[in-house]
Amino acid sequence: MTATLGVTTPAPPLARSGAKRSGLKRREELEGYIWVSPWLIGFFAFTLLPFLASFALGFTDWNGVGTPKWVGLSNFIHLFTADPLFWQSLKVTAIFAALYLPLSLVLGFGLALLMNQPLPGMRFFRTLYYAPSVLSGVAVAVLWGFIFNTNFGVLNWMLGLVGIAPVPWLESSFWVLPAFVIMQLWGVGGSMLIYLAGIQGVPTELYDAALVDGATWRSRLRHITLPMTSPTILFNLVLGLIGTFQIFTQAYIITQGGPNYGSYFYALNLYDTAFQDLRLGYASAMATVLFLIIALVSAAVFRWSRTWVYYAGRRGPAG
Amino acid sequence: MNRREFLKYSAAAAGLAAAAPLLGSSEAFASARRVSSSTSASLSLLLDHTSLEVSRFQHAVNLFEKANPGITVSVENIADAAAFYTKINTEGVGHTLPDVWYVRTFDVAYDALKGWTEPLNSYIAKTPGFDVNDFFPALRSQMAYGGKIYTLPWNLSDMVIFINKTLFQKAGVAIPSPDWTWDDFASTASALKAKLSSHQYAGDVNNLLADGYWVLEGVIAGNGGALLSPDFKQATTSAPANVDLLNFFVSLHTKGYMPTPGTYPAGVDPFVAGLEAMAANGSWVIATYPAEIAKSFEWELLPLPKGSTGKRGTGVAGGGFGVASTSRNKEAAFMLADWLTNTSSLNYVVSDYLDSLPSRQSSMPTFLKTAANVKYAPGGMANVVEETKTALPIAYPPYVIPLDTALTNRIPPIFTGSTVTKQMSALAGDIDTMIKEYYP
Amino acid sequence: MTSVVEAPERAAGERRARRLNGRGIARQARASRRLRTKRREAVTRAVVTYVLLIAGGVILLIPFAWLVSTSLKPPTEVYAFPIVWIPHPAMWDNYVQVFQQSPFARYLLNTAIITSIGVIASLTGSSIAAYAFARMEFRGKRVMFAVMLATLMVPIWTVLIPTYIFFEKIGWLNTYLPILVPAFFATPFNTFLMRQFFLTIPLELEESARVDGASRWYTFVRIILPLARPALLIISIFAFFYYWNEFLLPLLYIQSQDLLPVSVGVSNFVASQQVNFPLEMAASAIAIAPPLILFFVFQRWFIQGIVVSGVKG
Repeated sequence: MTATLGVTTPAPPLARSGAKRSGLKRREELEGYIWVSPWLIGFFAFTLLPFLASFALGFTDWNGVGTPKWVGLSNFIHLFTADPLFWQSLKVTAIFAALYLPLSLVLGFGLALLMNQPLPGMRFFRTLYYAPSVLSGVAVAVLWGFIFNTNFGVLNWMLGLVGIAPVPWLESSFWVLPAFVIMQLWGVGGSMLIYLAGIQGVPTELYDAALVDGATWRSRLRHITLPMTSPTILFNLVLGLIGTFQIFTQAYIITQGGPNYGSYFYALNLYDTAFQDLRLGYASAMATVLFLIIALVSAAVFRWSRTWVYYAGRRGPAG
Repeated sequence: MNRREFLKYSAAAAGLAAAAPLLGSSEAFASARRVSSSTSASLSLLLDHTSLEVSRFQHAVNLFEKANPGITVSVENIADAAAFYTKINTEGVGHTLPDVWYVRTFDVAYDALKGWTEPLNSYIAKTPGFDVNDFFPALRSQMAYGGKIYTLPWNLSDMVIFINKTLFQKAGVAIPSPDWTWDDFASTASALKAKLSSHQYAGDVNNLLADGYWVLEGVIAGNGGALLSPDFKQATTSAPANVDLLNFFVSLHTKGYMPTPGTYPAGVDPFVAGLEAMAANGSWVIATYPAEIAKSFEWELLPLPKGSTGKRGTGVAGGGFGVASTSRNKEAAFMLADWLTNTSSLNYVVSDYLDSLPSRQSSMPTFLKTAANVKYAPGGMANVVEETKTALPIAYPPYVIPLDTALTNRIPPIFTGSTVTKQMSALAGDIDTMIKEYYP
Repeated sequence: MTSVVEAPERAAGERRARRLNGRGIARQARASRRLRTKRREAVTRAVVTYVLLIAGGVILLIPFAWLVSTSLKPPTEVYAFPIVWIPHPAMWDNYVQVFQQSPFARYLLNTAIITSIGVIASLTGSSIAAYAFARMEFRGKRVMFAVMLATLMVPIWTVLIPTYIFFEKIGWLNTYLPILVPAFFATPFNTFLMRQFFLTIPLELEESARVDGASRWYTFVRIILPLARPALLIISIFAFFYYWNEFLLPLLYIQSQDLLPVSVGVSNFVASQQVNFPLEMAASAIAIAPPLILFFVFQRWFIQGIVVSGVKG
């Protein structure tokens, strides 16, 4: 699942006459708070409180029985110095992200470009490509387990048709991550659809002007389409990053993190620690570390994005 | 097959789809033991079973309610074992566990350490006619932790060698006797391999290595080895007895007697497909194989081979019912757990050939009678009973869950490039981490 | 909206018309050659597009095809290699068995309840909060928004237990409340989406309404929300599939069998199949079918909604 849109700069506040400014501003602030209060209350109760509780638990030792015992930073120290599975799961997640994110971007965007053309049947294709991302759960995971089977799986059968020897997808700690990349790419239709919306939102006057100047298809892509959809790309990137760090179900069901912990994603490590071993304090520390990593990487991506993302500022009516 | 898949099976295989006759009247159930009908309570029961088994339990529960008019029982079933454990763990921490739930013997130590289950010794003492020794000896060591009983076993599983008689006849090899050893296994496999075709396997014991600690420890114990010290506080994975036996299994693979683990995807059974002359699998499939194999070939059962100690390396595991320590009606909850696991209940269950072996020896005659009457039933059931009676009393450490995850990760590479010694020392490292967690 | 294919042709055509009005034949020939090249380019592009999309589509369909094919196989054909695509005989009875062995009607009803309330909830709370974030100025707005986004980065496993304990303490166990109530109060993803959308609506509309004396609320309900229909549609569809597939929360909070939704029911069924793999696949196919069918029914509005809306950069 990816979300979508680029950030636009917020609308500038309405101009006001100087004399009335503070009164009006205060009233508007109050109005803002009232409007946002349902969110605030719910957010506080259902999201923030558990989040803070989980954050605090990271400094305790608690196995679900009795009361948590304060241990300060020792969970974090242990995590970084004495837990090889921590580093292994980080490595697995990082390698997966490095493989998957660029492919997903290129594939999603490329498909969106293809589907943008007003050729007949495009709606059918959009539906077809989007359909896999609607599915989820155990059933799909079991399906993939069979598809990737070395001796009986469809994938090796297809490779065999072109003369490639069977690949030990789920039995080799080398091939298991590419297998997961393929599984995730099956759902590329979700981000494709969002890219499509972004591309279709580019004002056509720009293309018309370019054509009059004799621009080629490649040049139009590079100088119009990509810059104008860069906010969308950025957000799919960030949300894809967040999603990558939370991959869990397929690894849990198909490989249990194997072979030899080769597919031991961070979220799986977290689940095992929190729910199988019930080491809740330690797991909370892991969650905090994950959150910090995602936040740092996202911030870095945002900073980097300043060099290539173009915000068109205030926008006109839709469509 | 790994622990997750085993957990699916250990709740006992769903067999025939046809509705079974509802055997057992209220009186037959009640006559097993005097039941007090004066308690009044509202109980919750959580199961981890197939829909067919759930309907059997529901029947038993209905009879229980009739015999105890003041008690109502609400039944919930979560068939997927992983989801079941996620729920149990969450409820355990949240102090909302159901009054009675399915506690497997390898959960006993873990749940006891967490204080989730109620010790049942005092309730057992108060119940006239309750015979703990009726449970199979190997189960008795697993239903308790630290001397206190925490679960009343309901069924039992162990590992059996399945023999494809038709392939043996075709190869002209004699079927070994039930007193065979691992050396006999190897020589039989060698004789078979000479006569079998290239995609058939002589002796596949992958399931002995892939089904988790409870199987592996049993197999190794037959050879005098052990992965853990008796008090669970030390890893003894690199002991020579362990290494020798595992290398023996590696040699079976190298000689081509068995496929590499993971060759067949989940749900695919090469023995049923007629591809294997000898295959190790759980006793739970005895119930489902007849319908699946039907007439395609003849088959029978042999117990596991004896190890170098002269004993069979058979471990057991069982499911059972425990009472929550936070239950508000512990007396009534115990009555329910007892009802579900008394001889009559078990007789009812095994009268339909639906299930694994019953946990009580007193229910074995009914089980054997049912087994003999099933269409395409295999020979050798008596071997299985004998094996179960002499199974080794192995208990489970409280860290059995992460231990199984470690085994799933560390064992398969011995067939795909790594050495037994290397993997065993990696496993020791994993176990040391767990021990530090659970025994700080 | 004009497409990028029509424009060059039209421009070229216009140019050609201009030139024909008093220029030479040579120029005319050059112009029509350019037109033909452009047409050939367009045709090539179309062909390439179709080839790629069809190839990709086939690859995408293979898992589905395999699922359906396997669900109809007798157990022995599952192990056959090379792969048998058309089962002999086709066990249609597998699908009948799935429905015979499981109380799907009750499960479906429960899921319908959860999903419909969930969708309505997702639309209301998030829109209100999103409007505040998009249009109103108040101290701490940026921080709140960033914090809200940050909560998307939190993996669910560790907040699950504190949340469970919280709901247990307020007595909401064995109800649908823990699943549905939070949605009424606005959730990060939906709020974010709506806020982005509101930011694309020109301010003039609201300004003129304000000048005419309309209150904020009136403006919001009568003017902004109707314009936001595509975004609301997207949220509905996302929310629909989210609640339809929601498995973990019902698993943990529900303690009565007859309150369980279809997601748990199907899991129970699939887990009940021990050795009959085709039956398991049949159940999986049935589990996958409702979201797919509903998607095909709604896709016209959904995809149109995304494509036509201001849901862009």
